[in-house]
Amino acid sequence: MRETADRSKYFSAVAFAGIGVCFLVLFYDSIVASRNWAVLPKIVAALISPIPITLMAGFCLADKAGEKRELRIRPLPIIGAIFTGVLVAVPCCRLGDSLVPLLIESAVFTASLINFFVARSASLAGLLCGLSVGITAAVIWLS
Amino acid sequence: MKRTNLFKIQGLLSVILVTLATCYHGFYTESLDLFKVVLAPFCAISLLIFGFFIYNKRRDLVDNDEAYGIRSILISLVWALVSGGVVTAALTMLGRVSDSLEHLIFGGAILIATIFFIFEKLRSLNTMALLTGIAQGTVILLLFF
Repeated sequence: MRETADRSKYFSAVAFAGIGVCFLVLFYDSIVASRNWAVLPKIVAALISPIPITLMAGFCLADKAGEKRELRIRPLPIIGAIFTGVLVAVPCCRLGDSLVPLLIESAVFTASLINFFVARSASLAGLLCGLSVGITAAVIWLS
Repeated sequence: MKRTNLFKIQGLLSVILVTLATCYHGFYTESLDLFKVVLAPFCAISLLIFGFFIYNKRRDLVDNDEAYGIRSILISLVWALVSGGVVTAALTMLGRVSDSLEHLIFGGAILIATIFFIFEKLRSLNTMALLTGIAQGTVILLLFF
């Protein structure tokens, strides 16, 4: 049990480090190389934007935090939720240069935190995953 | 995480966001009178000291573990929306009407003083909603104006 916990912490650390490297590369390419420093406060604001709402939601639901309910895995609703997320995210490929995809991505990340601590819904997790994957793929490949 | 810690983080985040918004809009102002810029925050500081002197109680309702009802959560959301709208409108007007840095610093300092007063003296669900509204209003101002 302890070995599983240590291994999952190790993999989480590797995943976060990988995401951090991707962000650093994107940051260098979009801001440092092009010397477009004026857009940096907007990017910081877009990343921070869902945090106040998340803190408020955590504050309101504080009594329910800490309950680790059993996760019910049913494949069809989860796959349906992932596809729904991807389909909703495809129109965002038209907003490739604006901050809206970044806003939605950080909102998805904070909603995932609330889902983990409070709702514990596998379908909601699938929907958020589909949204995130769909937006990223659409912005990078389709715009 | 305990409600007290969430309240503290929200207060700190609100102060950081208001400072960031004031500095960001301040870079685009044209006139600079150094004396007025240095003097601008002192109004807020004196108002804050006066507020601490007059209201010497401390209302702390965030340490309990009771569940909030739907009605109180909805009322707090209304508070958050109203405070967010007021902050966005006020800072936008300050940025458009005046092209001087001292007006922006004056408005930003008043907001930060309000946050400090709420942080120290009035801790409850509705004031948490006020802080949320201030933080979100500042973010919307940074992103879209």
